[in-house]
Amino acid sequence: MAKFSDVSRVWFQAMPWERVVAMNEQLCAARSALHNSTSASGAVAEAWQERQHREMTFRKAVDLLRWRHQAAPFCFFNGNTFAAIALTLLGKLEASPAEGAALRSAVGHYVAGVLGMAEFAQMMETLDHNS
Amino acid sequence: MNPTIQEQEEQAFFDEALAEALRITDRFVAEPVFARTGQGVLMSRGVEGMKADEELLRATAATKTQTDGKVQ
Repeated sequence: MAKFSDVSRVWFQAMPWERVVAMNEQLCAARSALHNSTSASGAVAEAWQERQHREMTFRKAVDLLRWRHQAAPFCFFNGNTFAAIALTLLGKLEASPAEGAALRSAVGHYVAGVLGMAEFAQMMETLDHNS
Repeated sequence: MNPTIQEQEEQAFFDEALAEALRITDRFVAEPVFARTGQGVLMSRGVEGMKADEELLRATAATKTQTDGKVQ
């Protein structure tokens, strides 16, 4: 079993969609940007609520956050909204400081969309089996 | 009325995630670039960021050495 990728739990239990929306609203307010939903918002909200209480692996949870970012349910600041949720999930993993730093970098860049799927898979493979 | 355990957990997760999001917000552009191009954007942390990372790694390594010493 992979040390981090295969850790399975209900990752989004404490983050209902309304809180995601509230978070984006505060981020927009902090940067004086308009907080509003896009046409993708309804579908993303529905998918979020459907999976919120579902158990899944850590890898799957991170993939979902990347896809939610890409779907862009908000007009502005989708990136840090979903990347920050992913980084907060890391607190539920048992990792050493060095592993934690590597995980933060890999997960943050992956959800932000600047690290590709193949590169992320390679990094997780290394962290899962060599740490 | 007192908040339920679920509400407390939600608030704690929300506070932590929001603090994290505000901490990294300068590195993100507001526009939904990832949705349009399939490639996200993240600003560089610059030389100061690298220095801070190196400092943190040094401090972590020093702490680990001290801890290892105590265990032995």
